[in-house]
Amino acid sequence: MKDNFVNHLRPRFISDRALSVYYTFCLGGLSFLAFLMLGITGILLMFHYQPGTSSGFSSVLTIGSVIPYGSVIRNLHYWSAQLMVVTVNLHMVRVVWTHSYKPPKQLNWLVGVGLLVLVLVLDFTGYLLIGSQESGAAATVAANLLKQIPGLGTALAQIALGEPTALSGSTLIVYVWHCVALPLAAFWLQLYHFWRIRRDGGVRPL
Amino acid sequence: MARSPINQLKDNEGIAALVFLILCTLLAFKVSSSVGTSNLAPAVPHAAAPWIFGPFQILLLYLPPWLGALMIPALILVGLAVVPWIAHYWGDKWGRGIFSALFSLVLVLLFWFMVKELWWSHL
Repeated sequence: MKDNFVNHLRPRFISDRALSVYYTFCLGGLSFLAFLMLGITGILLMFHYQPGTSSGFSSVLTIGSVIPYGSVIRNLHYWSAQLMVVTVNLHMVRVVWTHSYKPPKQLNWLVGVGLLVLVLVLDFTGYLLIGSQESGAAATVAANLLKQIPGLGTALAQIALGEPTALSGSTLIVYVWHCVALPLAAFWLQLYHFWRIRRDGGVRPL
Repeated sequence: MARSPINQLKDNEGIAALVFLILCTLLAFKVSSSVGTSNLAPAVPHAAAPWIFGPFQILLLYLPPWLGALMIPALILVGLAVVPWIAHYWGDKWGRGIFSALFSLVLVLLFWFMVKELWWSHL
């Protein structure tokens, strides 16, 4: 199983069409690179970040102004996230443009849509962790929206966001979602996505 | 089907990765990310969403929450998810058309948000 997985991710030979930069623009690979950068810079930020209504914002300020290179690491984290949203969306446009969603790749298309949702949720939870007034407003809006879902809404809001205040969206629950659960889910889903690309015939028009 | 050793792909990916890393580093050194307003400061009268969620803010501004922030985004996601099956049963033009319509809707909302926020900030 391990050999099957590795050999599909990195086969010895690939289709010539996959070599054309102008066919894929490396957008999927760049999205994964951004994800790796987010992982590395995120771990570095975790050494100093403290979630909480008041500690969230103050620790972000500390990272930006006191910790050596903290500002650069945080900026790298921020810009990688912004660029990842751009590359993921452009990757999706490229896939549609080259009809790369057609059978047998429809399952991988669904995985890609799932990854898009995960990236957006990761971006949102990252915004909440700043702990500013704006993040508090965003968390309050999100909690109220989730509560609109009949039956499950209130529980879902509690599970997803904890109890944010209107002045800070930084809670321990959002922190765990952002730093552990969502990145792990996105990582495994991406590996499956890459494996399926080769399994379904590589990067080439059908 | 013509095929080549994977090393050539690695070269392409390496160059793209280098360009991406340089761009990220330049942005990180030149443009600082915002920290927003302290929660100890007086309450701000207006909080603009980050650009990625601008379309949500526009929808929430003009539509009831259940429609603007739950039903429409859910329909857009379902529409995206079923593109392969639309293309399979109705033809490629339909698949591409549905995707373009949904993607354009999000782009229009994003553009609307940006114009509104720029206008707002100049008041």
